Amino acid sequence: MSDVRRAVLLLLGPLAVLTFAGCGLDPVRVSDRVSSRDMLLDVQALDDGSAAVIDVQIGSPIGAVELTGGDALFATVDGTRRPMIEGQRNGAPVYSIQLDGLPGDFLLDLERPSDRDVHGVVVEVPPPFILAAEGLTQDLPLSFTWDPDPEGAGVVIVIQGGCIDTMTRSLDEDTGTLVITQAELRPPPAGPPLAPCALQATASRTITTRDALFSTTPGGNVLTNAEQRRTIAITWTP
Amino acid sequence: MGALALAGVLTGAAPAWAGDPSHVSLWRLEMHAAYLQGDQRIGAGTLVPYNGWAFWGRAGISEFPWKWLGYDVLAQIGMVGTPQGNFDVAAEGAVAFAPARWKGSVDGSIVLGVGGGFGFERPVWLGRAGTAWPLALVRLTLKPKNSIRFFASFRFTPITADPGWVRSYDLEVTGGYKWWYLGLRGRMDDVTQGDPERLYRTYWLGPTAGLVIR
Repeated sequence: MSDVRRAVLLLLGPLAVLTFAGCGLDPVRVSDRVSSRDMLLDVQALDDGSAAVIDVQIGSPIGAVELTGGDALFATVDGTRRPMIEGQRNGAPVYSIQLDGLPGDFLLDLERPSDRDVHGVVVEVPPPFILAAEGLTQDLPLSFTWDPDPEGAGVVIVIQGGCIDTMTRSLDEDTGTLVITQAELRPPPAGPPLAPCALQATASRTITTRDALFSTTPGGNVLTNAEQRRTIAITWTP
Repeated sequence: MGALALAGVLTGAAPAWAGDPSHVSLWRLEMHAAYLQGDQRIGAGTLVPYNGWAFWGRAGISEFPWKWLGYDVLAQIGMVGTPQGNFDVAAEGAVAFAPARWKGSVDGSIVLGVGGGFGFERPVWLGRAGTAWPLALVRLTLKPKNSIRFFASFRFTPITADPGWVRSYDLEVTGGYKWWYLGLRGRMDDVTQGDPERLYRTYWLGPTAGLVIR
């Protein structure tokens, strides 16, 4: 091999290695590398009547990020401020706190020593309620009652079980009552069920919001989804 | 009077290229390929890694009509392979000063220059509207034999017309035999901008192969 050819290979070799080594660069998904103004806070809150959980995922142009560099999330529920604990959901970082319940709206704070803080994000929570069911004996219809919220966004009731097609009712007006006749509880196509039949009814109120974190452009966003969900078991003998 | 005296010293009695053995003049054509990798800004201030390649044809003339004073121009045209852009063009010019030149077992010279340039933005994620910049340069040339030439040049751009603070550091080291030379060129582009304000750095590295015309 001539000296010239050897010199060319010596120069081009490292370039080729670098080119292929650099293919598909994967971003380091940490909050240190993300501006507060590029963040998307995705807040999911659920109170199922026995316990509640608040989850926050921090989205960004490089995907869900882990809080680093002293960044921390706090939730203030019922006047008490708590740090949110890091976990994993679907392979992405999630920040959570466990509670006995969600009595009302709560606040979120994202504190960042090297970037803009986000203070006092209000997460609207629908009012809690107690769900009761009666009837469904002999020819009586299935009657649900709960604490009404006429000013609220509505309620969704789902009835499911092995002996019926799943039934969903969305009520735009939350009056606190719903009556379902036995004829409406249709058996699945496989044929009539064996009695008795176990049903499960779930009522849920949800408030979903989307707001900007800052008044600048871009200003980041916060998506909230807060749900009050109650589930009861019913036995039906068709 | 002082300025006139300085001009007299710089221009000297005879042009440097008239048989001057210290090799301050350099006319060259070269091809340069580079791999680039760094962090670009997305949104208000998010660091996102990126990479790509670039390929240029470059032509440079460094000439000294007077003994100590001359000019240095460099033009390049090529392709930059990133999602933001492909065509690339730039031209730079500088007033050059040769404060040192010597003859001995190894002949050589040092050239300093101050000037400016214009072209498309680098790194390319800054945009493709065109920009301008000042620059400072220094070049060391060594000729251990008549047929062997080494030169290393460093170009520094302290700022550009782009938003934020953009600067670049460009180092080229070459070795050549007769009319031909091979080299390695590395470049670092630093951009400080965004919210929060932070550093976005791009590295370029690749070979050069060229021809010394004069």
